[in-house]
Amino acid sequence: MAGQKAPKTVVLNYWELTPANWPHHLAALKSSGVDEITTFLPWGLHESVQGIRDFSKTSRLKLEKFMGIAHQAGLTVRVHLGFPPKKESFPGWSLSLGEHCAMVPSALLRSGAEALCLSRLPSIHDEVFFSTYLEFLSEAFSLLSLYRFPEGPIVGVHLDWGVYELDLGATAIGFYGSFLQQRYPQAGMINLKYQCTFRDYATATSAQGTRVLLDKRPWLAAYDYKFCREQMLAERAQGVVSLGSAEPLIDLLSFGLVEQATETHPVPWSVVMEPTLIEGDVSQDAYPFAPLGYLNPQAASVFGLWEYLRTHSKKAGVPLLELRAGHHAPSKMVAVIAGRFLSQRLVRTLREWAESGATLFFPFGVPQYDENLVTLEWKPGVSRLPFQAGAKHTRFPLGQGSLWYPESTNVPEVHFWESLRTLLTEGARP
Amino acid sequence: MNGLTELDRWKLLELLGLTSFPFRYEERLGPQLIRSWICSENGVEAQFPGAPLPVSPLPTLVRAHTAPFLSEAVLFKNRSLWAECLPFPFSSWAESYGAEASGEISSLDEPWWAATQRLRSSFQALEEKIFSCEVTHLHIERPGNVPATSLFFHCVRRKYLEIRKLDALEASSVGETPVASRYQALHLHSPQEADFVSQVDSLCSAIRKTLEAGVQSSLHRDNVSLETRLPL
Repeated sequence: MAGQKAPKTVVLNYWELTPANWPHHLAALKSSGVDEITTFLPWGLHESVQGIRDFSKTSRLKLEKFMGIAHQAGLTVRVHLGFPPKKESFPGWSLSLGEHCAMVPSALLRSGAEALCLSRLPSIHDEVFFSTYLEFLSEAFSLLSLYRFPEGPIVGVHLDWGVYELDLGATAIGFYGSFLQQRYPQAGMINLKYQCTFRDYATATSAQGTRVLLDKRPWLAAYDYKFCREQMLAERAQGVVSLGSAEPLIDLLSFGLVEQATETHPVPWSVVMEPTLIEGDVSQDAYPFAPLGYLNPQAASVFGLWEYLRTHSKKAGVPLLELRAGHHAPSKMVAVIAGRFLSQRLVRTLREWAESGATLFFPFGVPQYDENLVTLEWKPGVSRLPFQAGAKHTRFPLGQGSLWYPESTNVPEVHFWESLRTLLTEGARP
Repeated sequence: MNGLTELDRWKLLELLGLTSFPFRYEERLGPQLIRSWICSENGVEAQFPGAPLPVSPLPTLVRAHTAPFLSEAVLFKNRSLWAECLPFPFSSWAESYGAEASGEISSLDEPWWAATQRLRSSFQALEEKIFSCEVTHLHIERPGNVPATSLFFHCVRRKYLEIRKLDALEASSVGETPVASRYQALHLHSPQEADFVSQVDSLCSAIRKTLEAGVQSSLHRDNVSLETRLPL
């Protein structure tokens, strides 16, 4: 509601504190101006023995007691469930459940960098694993529904798919092909877009097919893969919503990644990176896009470029952000790291940034094609952007801002950051 | 639970005098270079992908993945003291053989590589010592301006339940209160040498001295045990 202040929220996991201190901690938080706490309800701790769910026996896991104390302290609570990259997200016994595996970057569970390896986990798309998790969810929902606001403190229940948002093993799941069919209603359309000769969806989504698609059109293959993965998770969310015990909480339930609110300071220029050929969060920790472990040279280059940019942007204090649809321009001058392809959603976002006055610099050239391989129009009727004769860079006016691009996309390799900084610092001057 | 932050790990590395000697870290997928870092006291600096590698005298540590797939690693594995306390890619020094290896680790710089392996063996001995008690306080100091650090280890059945840095007040009261049935305080005096091999050799003898001195300092107290965090 307009004029209403957003509640001041902190993350506090009840199971990380000594229960005797819960009243003291929560009262102290309330008196320091906190209105709301976000707490993670870990499957790994509440069901450490399969089939025996502990919400009231172990003192640290007395969920109802904690909710009661939070309510008494005048705090509201958002409960997070799911699979954030924490050891507590998975019971030990669950790691050997089912047949199908998810493949996730090993570094997910470490603080800081790690070797570029992948690790296997039970897949959320494995029916044995998922139905076991649903049993846990069902009991958790029954309890949580007793404490919904205003009778209790709960104002939201969020299911975070966590590590499964970065699952690189989705093509090995049998029904992956049916989601690819949503993108390409006939198998022949895959052949047309990728210039290959698959007989059906099964061959296109096999391990060999995945490699072929990635080698033919890396960006499009990554886009299609992420589209299917998103749809597959949406289908799992439907499974959760259809639980009988979810009904009383239905208006409080949400799914997916929680975007961290970050404080933004005005900066003269910033860098945004198109994320299709990379996994994870560009501004925090990213990983190579390697479905089934297969790392295509182009995806490896994009990851290398991200590491390079992160090193230098950190040192220089320049924000390095992910290009996300619907976000505002982070600065008046923005370097857009993208290749020849860009999805229509992101094109719309960039167009809005330029029209509202931002200058967008494309060091690798302006993207030319969308996810359907259709030529992009940055301005109605303009599909090929002009080059200013004799100039190293051309500015193409768009609304109150402009698109700015080099004549040649052969970027200087060794001093890329220095040349980017010089150009944009000068460009940002009034 | 490892309570050491990335910054704590880098501070620890500095305290051990290992940041002063830069090296290059590479990851290769078959012949393709997929990661190239210079690791020095300024942290790690990634190179522009595909840029020609500058000719440099730095020792190079290479992790090779078998093309065309990235290596696989166990997600929830128990890691060694080395891997828990030192930042990546310095922690890779310990990975050449043993359960932690993900991809093949090697270096063409023989004396440098042999020195890292000697250091790894010393750390293994230190880890055995730490595992011998439920609670260990390890105090590390070094001549110069680097502030000393105290680390707290809580181990049960050769697993770390907790590793964290102690603040100054906690460190000053070490040994005053009985906190566990088996408790020990270890002191490590980190050396300061001019080159990497000498630094490593001096550090290995400092660790040896610490282990010898530690034999006298451990205590056994009946009926005293630290609260165990979940899950065991």
